[in-house]
This record gives sequence, C-alpha cells and structure tokens, in this order.
Amino acid sequence: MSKKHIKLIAVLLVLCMTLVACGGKKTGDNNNNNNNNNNNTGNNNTGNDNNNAGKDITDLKLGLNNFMKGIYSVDILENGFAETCKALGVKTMIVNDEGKVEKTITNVDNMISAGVDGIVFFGISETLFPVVSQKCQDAKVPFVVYDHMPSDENLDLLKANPYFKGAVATRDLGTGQNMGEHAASLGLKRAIIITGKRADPTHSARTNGFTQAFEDGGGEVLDVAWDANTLADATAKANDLLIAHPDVDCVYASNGDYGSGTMQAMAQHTNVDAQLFVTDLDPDILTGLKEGTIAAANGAHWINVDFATTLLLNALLGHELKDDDGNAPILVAPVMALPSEMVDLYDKFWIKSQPFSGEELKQYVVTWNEDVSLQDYVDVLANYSVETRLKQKEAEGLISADELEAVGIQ
Amino acid sequence: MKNILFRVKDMNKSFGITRANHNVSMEIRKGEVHGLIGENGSGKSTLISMISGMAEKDSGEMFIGDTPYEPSSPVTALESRIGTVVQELGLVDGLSVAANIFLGRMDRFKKLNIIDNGALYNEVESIYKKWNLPRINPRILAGSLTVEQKKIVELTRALSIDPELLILDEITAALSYNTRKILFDIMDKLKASNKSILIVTHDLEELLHLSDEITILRDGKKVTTKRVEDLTESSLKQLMVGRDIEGDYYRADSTDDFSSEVVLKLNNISDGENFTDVTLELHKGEIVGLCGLSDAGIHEVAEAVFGVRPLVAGDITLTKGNRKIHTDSMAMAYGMGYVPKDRDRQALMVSDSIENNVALSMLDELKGPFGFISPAKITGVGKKVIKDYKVVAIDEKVALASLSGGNRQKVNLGRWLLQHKDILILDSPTRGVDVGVKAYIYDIMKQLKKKGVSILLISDELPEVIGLSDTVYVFKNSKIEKKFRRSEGLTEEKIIEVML
Amino acid sequence: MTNKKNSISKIEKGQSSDSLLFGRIGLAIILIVPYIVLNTITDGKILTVNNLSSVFTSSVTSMFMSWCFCFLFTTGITDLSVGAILILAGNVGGVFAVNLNLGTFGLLLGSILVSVLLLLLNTVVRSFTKIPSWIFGLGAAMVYEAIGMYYGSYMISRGRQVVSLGNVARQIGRTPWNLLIVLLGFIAAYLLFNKTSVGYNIRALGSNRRVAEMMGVDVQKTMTYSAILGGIFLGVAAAVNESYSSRVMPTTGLTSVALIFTALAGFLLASSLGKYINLTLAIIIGIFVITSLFNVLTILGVPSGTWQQTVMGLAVVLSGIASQRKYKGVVK
Repeated sequence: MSKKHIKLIAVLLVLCMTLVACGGKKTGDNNNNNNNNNNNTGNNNTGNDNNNAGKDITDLKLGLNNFMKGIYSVDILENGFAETCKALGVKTMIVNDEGKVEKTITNVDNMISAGVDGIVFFGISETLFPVVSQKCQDAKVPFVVYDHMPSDENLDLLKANPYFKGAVATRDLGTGQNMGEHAASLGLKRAIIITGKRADPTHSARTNGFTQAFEDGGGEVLDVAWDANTLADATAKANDLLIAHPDVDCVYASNGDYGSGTMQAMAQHTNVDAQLFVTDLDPDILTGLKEGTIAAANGAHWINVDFATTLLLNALLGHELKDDDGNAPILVAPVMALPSEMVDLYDKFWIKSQPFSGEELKQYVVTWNEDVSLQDYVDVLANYSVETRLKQKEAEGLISADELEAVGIQ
Repeated sequence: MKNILFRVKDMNKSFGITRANHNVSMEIRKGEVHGLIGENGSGKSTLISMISGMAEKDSGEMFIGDTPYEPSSPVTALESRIGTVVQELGLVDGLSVAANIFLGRMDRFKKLNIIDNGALYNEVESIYKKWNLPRINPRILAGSLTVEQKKIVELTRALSIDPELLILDEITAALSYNTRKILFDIMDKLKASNKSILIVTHDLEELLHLSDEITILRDGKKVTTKRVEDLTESSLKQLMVGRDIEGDYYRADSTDDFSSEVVLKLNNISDGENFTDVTLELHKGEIVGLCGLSDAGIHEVAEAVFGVRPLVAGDITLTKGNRKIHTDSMAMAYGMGYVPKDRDRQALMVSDSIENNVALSMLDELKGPFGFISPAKITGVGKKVIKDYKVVAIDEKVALASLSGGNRQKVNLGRWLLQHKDILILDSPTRGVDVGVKAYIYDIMKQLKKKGVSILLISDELPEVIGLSDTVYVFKNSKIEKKFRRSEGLTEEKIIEVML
Repeated sequence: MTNKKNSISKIEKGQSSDSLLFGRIGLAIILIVPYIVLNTITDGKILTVNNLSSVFTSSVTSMFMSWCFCFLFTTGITDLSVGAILILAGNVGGVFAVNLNLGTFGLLLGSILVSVLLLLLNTVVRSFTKIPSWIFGLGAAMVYEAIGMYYGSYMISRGRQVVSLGNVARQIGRTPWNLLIVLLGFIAAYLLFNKTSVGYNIRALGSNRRVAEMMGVDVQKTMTYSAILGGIFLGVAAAVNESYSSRVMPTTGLTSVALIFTALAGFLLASSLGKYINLTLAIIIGIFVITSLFNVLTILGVPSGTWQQTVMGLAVVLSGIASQRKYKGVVK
C-alpha cells in the first residue's frame, strides 16, 4: 500500500471517527432557531436557577438522550418528550446514544456545549449517573432523570447535587414482579424468559423481578435466554427454549420486540401449551393482547418522561419542587397490566395521541399554574391508571360514556 | 518480408524518467527461435509486455506479417495467436488449473450460459496430449501447485491458442531438467510447422543452443541482431554489458579446499514429505552444493536447515556451542543467513523500501540506547547495502518493486552479508539475474569462502554447482544419492546420470 | 524411463479422487456424529423434525447473506454496509408487500431492488473515489442506517412502528417454502459461482486481481456483475428476514454491522470446508452448524449470555485453526 493510500485512510478514519462522535448531535431539534441563542444561559445557571426566573418558558431549550433509536420503547419516550415540549412551547435537542454508554457521555457533553438549559436524562447503566451528575454540576446545567430509576446509592449521590432536580421513573424490578405475580396468580408453574443482555440493567432487573415473584408464587423459572438483541434473535432463542422445555406453561418476554418474536415462535410450537406475558405495550403487543395470543402485558405507559420534563421546567423557571426533606423529588411511575378489552382505546389515546393533553400538562408548570406543588405530581401519579385516564378523555369529550361502559368502566 | 512472421518497429516506452525501450526494432523469422537478451533493466520485459498486450506502447509499430498489430489486452494478443509465458506474473491461485488456462476465454464452453466443465477439462487434456506436456490435474486449484507446475500451466495457456508466435520469458530457469526437454521438443514442433518462438533467458549457453538469431538489448536500446553462428558466449556477454567479462566466472581451482572444522551437521533429517535421512556436514570455508531434479527435496532441505520447515526426524546441529536449530530466529541468532529460492514471496517485502527490507533481518543490531529502533541506523544499513553491493536504485527509500530482479537479489543477499554471518544458505541465488549480477554474486561467494564463511548452495543449474562447490550432494527421490568431491573430472553428465 | 515416469507422476499429483472421497466421508462423520451423540444425551430433542426445521428456518437469512458474500467479498470487496442494506431493503420490501398490497412478490421485488441498487451505488462510488472498501462500507452503513431511522422516527411520531407484515408474505420465512427458496438459491448460487464466466471472473479477481486483469478479465464489468448478483442474494436474504420476523427495526451506531456475524462466520467455516465440498453447498452446512450451535447448547441447558458465548468463541477459534491446517496442507 502506497504512502498516499495510507494517508488517505488516516484522513478518512479521522473523518469517520469525527462523524461517529458527532452523530445525532442535533437530531430532533424541532426548532430551527439559532442554536446558540442560549449558549450562555445554561452555563450561568446556579443550583437555584435564579437567572431563569424571569425567563419565558419559550426561551428554554431542553436536551434529551435517546439511548438507542430504533427501539420502540425508548423511541416512544422520545416522542412523548417532543410532544410535551411542543405543547409547552419549549425548544428541544434530542441526541441518539446509539446503544453505547460512552456515546451517552459524549452526548451529554454535546448538549452542554450546545447550550441547553436543562437535560432530561435516561441512564441505561448505573455507572452513568455519577459521571453525568458531575458533568452537569460542573457545567451548572440542571437535569432530571426519566424512565430508568437509579439505584438507592446513586439516588443519594444525585440528591447531593444541587443541579439534580428530580426523577420520574419506573422500577424495572417492579415491572417484572408485576408480571411474575400475575402469572403465578393464574396458577402457572413452569416458566421460561426471553430477555436482553445480562449487562442491561433494565432487562436483568425485569428478569430478576419476574423470577422472584413467580418463584415466590410457587412457580419455577426453568431457563432464561439472554442476549436476544433483535426480533429475529428473540424468535430463534424462543424456539430453542421451547424445544428444550416443551412442558412450560408460562413464557415471559421482557420487552415488546422480544414479545413479538416469542409470539411467532410459539405459533410454531403447537405442542406447547403456555401463556405469554410481555412487558411493553407497543402496537404488535397490543394486537397480540387483543387476539389473545398474549395473556397479559404491562408497561409504564410512557408518561414518566412527561412529568420529568415538567419537573425540570419548574426548576428552570425558578419554582423548584422539593420533598419534605428539601431534596429533589423521586417519583415512581406506576406499572400496570393492560386488560385486553381496552387495547383499542389504549392504541387511540396512548399510542396515536398522548395520554395527557398539552392543556393538562400545563397545569403542572408554574407558567400556567403558579401554585403547582409536588403534591400535585404525587397525586397525579398515584391516581394514574388506564381507567382514570379514559375517564378524563370522556370529560374532554373525546370518548362517550357508552364506549367506556363497553370496556367495563362505569 | 515473406519470411518475417512478426516485427516491431521503433518501439518506445518510458516509465517516468526511465526510457525502458528506445526505438527498438526487431524482426522474427518464420520457423525460427529468436533469442532476446540483455542485462537486467535492459528493456526485455518491457518489450515483451508490449507485444503480449500487457503494457501500452508510447509509440512505435508492430506487425504480424504485413498486418498492423495493436493489442489492447493480453486477450487480444491471444486472439492474434501470440502466446506468452511471462517471468513474474503467475496464476490465479483460487481457480482451477483449467480455469487458469481459459480465463477470459470461457465463453466457448458455454451451454445455455452455463460453463460445461467436462468440455473444459477435456479441452485441457487434449492440449496436454497434443503437446506432450506433463499432465497436471485440470481440476485442482492452481494455488496448490509448485513453481514448476505453475510454469507448465502458463505454458499450456500459451499453447492453447496454437500460437503463431510463442514468447517464453525466463521460463527455463523454473523448469527441471526433464521438463526442459519437453519444452525443447515443443519448440522443435513449432519450428517444424513454421511457427516462431521468442525466447528470453539468462542462460547464455542455452540461448546459443536454442536460438537461430539473437537480438541484444542494452539500456533500453537495441545493440544488434545477429545470427547465432556469428556469436559465441563471450562475444554475447561483451555485447550485453558493453565490456569484456572474464571467460570463466566460476572458481579457478579444481580441488576441494576448506578447513577441517565442522560448523554444521545434518543428522538423518526428514520432514516426512520431501526429504528423508539426509546426513551431511558443512565445514568452515566450504561450499556444499545440493542438486537434484525439481522435486528431489533440495529446496526443502534448505528451509529445514534455516528452521522454517519442521522436521519429523533427525536434528540439525551447529558445532559451535553444540546448538540445535529448531526455529529461524535461532538460526539467525546463531549466525546463519538464508536466501530462499522464491525471492519475492519468501524473502522480500517487495512493496516496502530497500532500507526496511535490509533492517528486518537485523532489528536487534539497529536498536538505540533505550531499545528503540533508530531510523537513522535503518537508513544507514540501507545506504550501505546499496553502496557495498552496487544496487542500482535512486535511494534506500524506494520500494523493491521498482527494482529489477538482479538488484532485488543484491539487496536480498546484501542484508545477510552486512551481518557477517558464519553460515549462508543460498538457494538458487542467481535465479533470474543477468550475467553481470551473476558474476558479481559468484565473486562474492568466492571471497566469502576465503574469509572462512561456510555456504550451502542449492541450485538447479549444474554448471553453477560444479563451478563453485567443494562438495556436491546429488539428491534423488528425496534422498542423498551420491556425494562428489570437487575434482577435474566432475562433469554435468556424471551428475545427471545420478539424478535420473 | 521409470525415473522420468516417477517424476512426471509427481508433477501430476493433486488431490486424488480417493482422498477427496475419504475427506468427504471424514467430514460427514465429524459433522453428523456429534449431533447423534448430543441427541441421545438430550433424549432425542435435537434431531426432531420440529427442531431441525426451526434451526433451518432461522438460518435461511444468513445463508442468502453468505451467498451474497460469495459474489461480493470474493472479489476482494469487504462491504460492511450489507447489514444496513438488509434492514433497509427488508423494510422497503415490507412496504411493497403490505402498503402496496403486492404480497410476497412485492416483498421480494422491493428487497431485491433496494439491495441491488445500493450495492451498485457502493460499487460506483468506490471505483470513482478509490476509497478502500471497508472504510467506504462503514460510511455507507451509517448513511443507510440513518435512512432507515428517518423512516422509523416518522412512524413513531405517528404512534406506529416500522412496517410489520402481519400475516402477509410470511410463507418464504417458514417451512416448507423456505426449503424451496434455499434449494433454488443454492442451485442459482452454485451455477452462477462455479459455472459461468462471470463466476470465474469474480473468483479470479478475488484471488489475484493483477493476474486476472492480465488474463483478460474486465475488472469494472466484473465488479458490476458481482454487485448485481450479490444484491439479488442480499435482497432475498432481506425478504426472508422480513418474512421470518415480520418486522425489522432500523438501527444506528453501526449496530447493523453485527448482523453479518453469523453469515460471515458461516462463510469462513464454509471456506475451510471448501477443500472437500463446493463453497456454495458448504455455506448451507456452515450456517446450519453455527446456528444450531446455540440451539444445541440451549437444549443442553448451557446458560445463555455467558457460557454459550464462550463455547461459540472457542468454536470460531477452532474452525480458524482447522482452516489454517487446510492451508498448510495445500501449499507446498
């Protein structure tokens, strides 16, 4: 290879690496306004955010990291964030971590450099929280955590950071437990699980939660297929497990894609008489629920990102909400199973539109409700269920009482 | 003009500032063997490349009979029935022998767009038969063939078109004694049917023996074309190099002469495949020659001695320190150097610079005070090899690929000589080099011998082995058949008798 | 005279039909015996029609990808964008099948069209810019992933996922239709690779480009054909993959490169078996063996995510060693 070639390769390599590092930097920036408008705003924040106090909400720009574009559940969270910000008039900057923790860190730097006023952060790995917390503190950029709840140890660390403004998330262990309990309550005894990487805290927690609850309820988990990365992988792995354990009566898939793959594999194993339980409520799973191929499915219904965003906005607008101890609030979004008869309504109000309308969400932001308090947040999350939401939709005139009655809501 | 089968007129070709061919004109008569000779870099290969469609000419004309001939690719040349076996092209290793013979011309075997392999193999077999070529299974991969077998496949490809003109560039050097004979029969057959052959070889004796007429090139220009009757070996040498060369460049003495100190012992070594029970001793200041037919195992013995070919039995011992050689790094560390037969594949990194090629064999000696290799020292040894061994190159940074075969061999040899090794294994050291370089290498060998360096010389050229060795081992069927001492009466005939 | 005969017979020496036959029998034993033994250990769970068909079904995509490599990678082009093309082509095929109501025909048409066009585009840009293939492939993979992602994001913003086949065009991803598809694929790959001028030229280019050029192989034309043929096989792979899993999510961050792992490992294993059986057939065996490895390990109760991967890694190393040994055996 000539020196010319080597030089060319070197230049291209550097170029490639730069591209990789910068990829997604401005993805999803749904405002074409000058990105540098707020360059200094973020950096001048203090823990009390006084300098944003007089600021109009429309001047603010929030950053959000999508851990891996292409995964329905995180994409729908991104979509929820974008819709919420749009309704509230807030600018956004959305980055794609491409499934890599090192890219998550680079992207936090990118968002800070781009001058976001605050960051709505998704931490796939526990190791990310201390690093990102430190970065935000150094750059004086307030942040909240959504969807994946940090460990208690990390929560203590986050609370000590004045720029941490709270967390609205789900406990993945609880998500798995919820399904495990449900399956055990049906008297099922032998289960297999199709899940993601062992090192992925979401899937390992869901798997552990399911196993714990199912075994506490008198069942036994016979085998776990880790590392199902795609739908096709999940199908193949589910096939393998169904052949190895044709006597199972329960199958748990820890996300939507794994659920879809497992559903297809089960269709090929007519000799196996088992019920399928899935976490995540994506269109495929809803179809499965409706058709009865999935016994039950649960999920956090994607609302945690909405409330994490409004929590951060309040802090940025000088109305920081704190718990009784004066710490940033830690709110747990409830997880529940979706009854199959409500699938169509769920599709209409959660997937094709937002469960909370823009007008409703405004009531949780100081700009529109100067008395908004943490209790409002606690209440709305405590009362949150498919039923209560549908009733609200009825109040808004989007659904009739008859339709609700048809699905068993009085 | 009636007798002329092919001619080139005022051919010119330059590579950068080098004028590889400068107004070269040549005529080849029907039914004759035309020899083409010149030192390395004299422009022979360039001329052949242009005739065979592998390189484009800058200017000039070519004619087949009276028809202008402008080959745009090697396939056009084949279509014009000019078949070439070139010195350093080779085969497509990943394809079968038959596919190599008909590559680029497969369409004739198509039936409904599918190649009929049966017909392809039959065609190859019929070519073998027609020309009485040694049969090489047309179905096996070319990559599994020996150098000689590959040359035979290339020859088969050239003969597959029933050539009007067959061009043979340095082919004999790669062929064993018996295959050469087959080739000479083919040449006779072609001559008899009024076809012509253009042959390039460094073996002057062979050239004079085979050719009817010889064109001599020097520095890209034609010196002259002469009938073979008007030439002798020494006049040919003189025309090639432009000065007188000593008539005999081998050793002048006719008796063995070396110290009684044994430096290397081969004790019943076998590799389980190519050679068995080989036992010999190499003394200080001795040149031991190994010869045999191409598959007699002599080249593999050389590889084994340097530790690159594992043994299944026996051992190789250096008497100094009573050390056994198991690996090439041991061999190098204990004072051995090795010049393998396939220079470009086994010895040199042809796309790398002269200095890096030299440095690779002596990295330990090029380390600076902190153990890092010093670029200045690398350049130093590169320069020294160029200077000491008269390598023709712009500087030590140029890639070996841009040097002629002879100059590459000087680098190859020079890098070991620079290190003052006690034992040198030289496998076909003059393969593909011109007389000038050949004489130079022989001279170096003679000087090394005087200094007490021991040399294991492996060669397919019997005059070379006889001319230089103190002891000659003749191999047959993977074993030592006979040992000869240097003497007046040792002739090629005596050795051939043992070999066959 | 005897000596001459002896010498010539050595020149003739190549692989005799006997040694080839023994090699094939040996290979068959090495491949089949472990399955029989493991089947016995697992109470007959492995060699059941159901299990074999499920392993086969999940190998079909990789088989077609591997045949694509036959044409594409053999010419010396390491195009790492094939994974991204697989995803994109499958989605376009899915749109053709579902949204345009063209069913299986549409799935194949859309997938093949996209694969051929993108591989041709890669070939043109590469030959124009002279960028080394693997670097260009990485760049192209990022672009094709991004295109898939634009589509995915658009669908998400409407509350939907990327196209899902549902019950449309699912036959080619299932037995017995996939058996037929593989049979047809094999016949086509075998004939094209081994018995056409294009196949010979492609193999020649990969083995020694300069010599091939000198022997009259038109490099540009051959590269174009290799992209077209490779594209057709990749297109079928994409269609089968889409049909098998019903929905293929676009990815970013070069994750698509990992999709070629099984196909590539199978291709390498097949290359090492190439001494005994034709490469195009060896691919079927190689891919099946690699796919069944996880299946067998799962049935044996080897934990996934840790030990299964360890065994797989060791198997890759061992087949590498095996192919090296074969190399030494041939080169003299």
